[in-house]
Amino acid sequence: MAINAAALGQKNLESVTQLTDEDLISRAQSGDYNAFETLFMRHRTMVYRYSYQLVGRRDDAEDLVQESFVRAYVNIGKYRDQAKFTTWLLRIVTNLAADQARMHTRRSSLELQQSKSGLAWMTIGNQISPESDVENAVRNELLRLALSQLSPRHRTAIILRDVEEKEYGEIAEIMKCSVGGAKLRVLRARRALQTVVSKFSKESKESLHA
Amino acid sequence: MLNKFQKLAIGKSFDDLNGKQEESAEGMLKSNPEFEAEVQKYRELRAGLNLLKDVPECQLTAEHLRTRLLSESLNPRSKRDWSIYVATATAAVSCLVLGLVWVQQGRSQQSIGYQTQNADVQSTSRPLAVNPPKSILKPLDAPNLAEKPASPSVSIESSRLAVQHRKASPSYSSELNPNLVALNEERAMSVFFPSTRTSRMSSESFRHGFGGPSNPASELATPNNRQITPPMTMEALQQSSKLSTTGQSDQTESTSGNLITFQPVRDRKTGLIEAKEEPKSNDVPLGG
Repeated sequence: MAINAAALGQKNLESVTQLTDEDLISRAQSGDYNAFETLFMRHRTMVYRYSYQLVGRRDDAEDLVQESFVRAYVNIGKYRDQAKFTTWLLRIVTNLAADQARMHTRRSSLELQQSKSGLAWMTIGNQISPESDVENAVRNELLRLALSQLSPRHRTAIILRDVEEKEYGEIAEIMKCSVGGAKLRVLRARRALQTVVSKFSKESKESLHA
Repeated sequence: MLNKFQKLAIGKSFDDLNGKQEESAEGMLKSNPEFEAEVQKYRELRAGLNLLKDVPECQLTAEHLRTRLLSESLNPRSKRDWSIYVATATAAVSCLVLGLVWVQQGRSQQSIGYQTQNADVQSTSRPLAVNPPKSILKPLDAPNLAEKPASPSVSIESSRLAVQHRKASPSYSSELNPNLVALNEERAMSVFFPSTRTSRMSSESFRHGFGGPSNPASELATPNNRQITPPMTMEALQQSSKLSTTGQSDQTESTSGNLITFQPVRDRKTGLIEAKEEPKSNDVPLGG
């Protein structure tokens, strides 16, 4: 009897995993937690990648993912199928990350001071280093640092477009703006990022000469 | 602000240009070395951003999420039940309407008092016809109303307040004997406004003793208003005092300084309450 029940549960789980997002959402809205868990398993990686780009730390990113799915679960009744579920999820992540960024502004500034001293030897550009992996790691570190210096709006725009490679329409939905507005934000974010990177590069070169 | 040079350089680096812009950028790339350097700078940035795509593996599992939800006893919020909002709004509007109706009824009751008073103004053309509960308040305002070309009065028709302007009767004073009017004025004044000291007492005794409607105008009466009090005969005074239910003698002070005291004893012949005029004395107690 127990084996039959387990088999039935397994069969139900398999049937749930084959459903579309819309069906899973309607089931989750009716109180089916398995449906919501299926949604979580399906989109967990995508949300995590985006979260990681926003916060730059694995533990922070995982916390952000968990918090985002908790919010999604609690507010699943408010979801309307006007936007894709992933877009709705990313909007939640964006809002949460923006809130966290406001709270941790001071912490970031302290980390920046510590990182600058470690990046003194590093440059970006045509220098060829035999330790390319190390160079890439350092470059990543510098870019993440530069990204953290951007405003949440610019950071979100550049991550969605140039890291996650989202279309401008979806970016506009996540950022609650028009497509033209999304294009303009991405353009300005790229310029702002380049300005910060150039500044860091210049400072590191000056400290090297000194 | 982004200038066209920067827009083209960034767009060219990230392959974000349309056909026309692409041609323009290609032309500048060949002819303008500064533009070429700018494009190269952004291409390096793009390459660096591509490296950011590698992220460590996510170790968050469904169990973590389930544990978190269970630990905080979180449940999905139900969809908004609009019927609750509609019911609440309906109840609120009903309360508001009931409140307005209640306030309006209060006002209409006040206006009934005014209407009664003003309606009696027309009946003053009948000399010496006194309706005790109403005529007590009548003499205060009747002359004022008669002097005005039109006096507002409020009447209620079909639960609505309608303001009507009625002309005061022009024959009010012409049908009366001036001598009799003067005599009546004096006596009426002695009854209703014996002195400033007793006017409040008289007003209270009228209100409670006769049970007639209170007249706000009488409360606001001033000595100037008293000078134009309309006529009233002794019979009317006796008739009005007959309705007194207090059982105590009404004591009033005349303008000449004498006190007119109404006794609780009735005259055998006429059946009316007797009244005595006494010289003013501080020994005579006043009050109801």
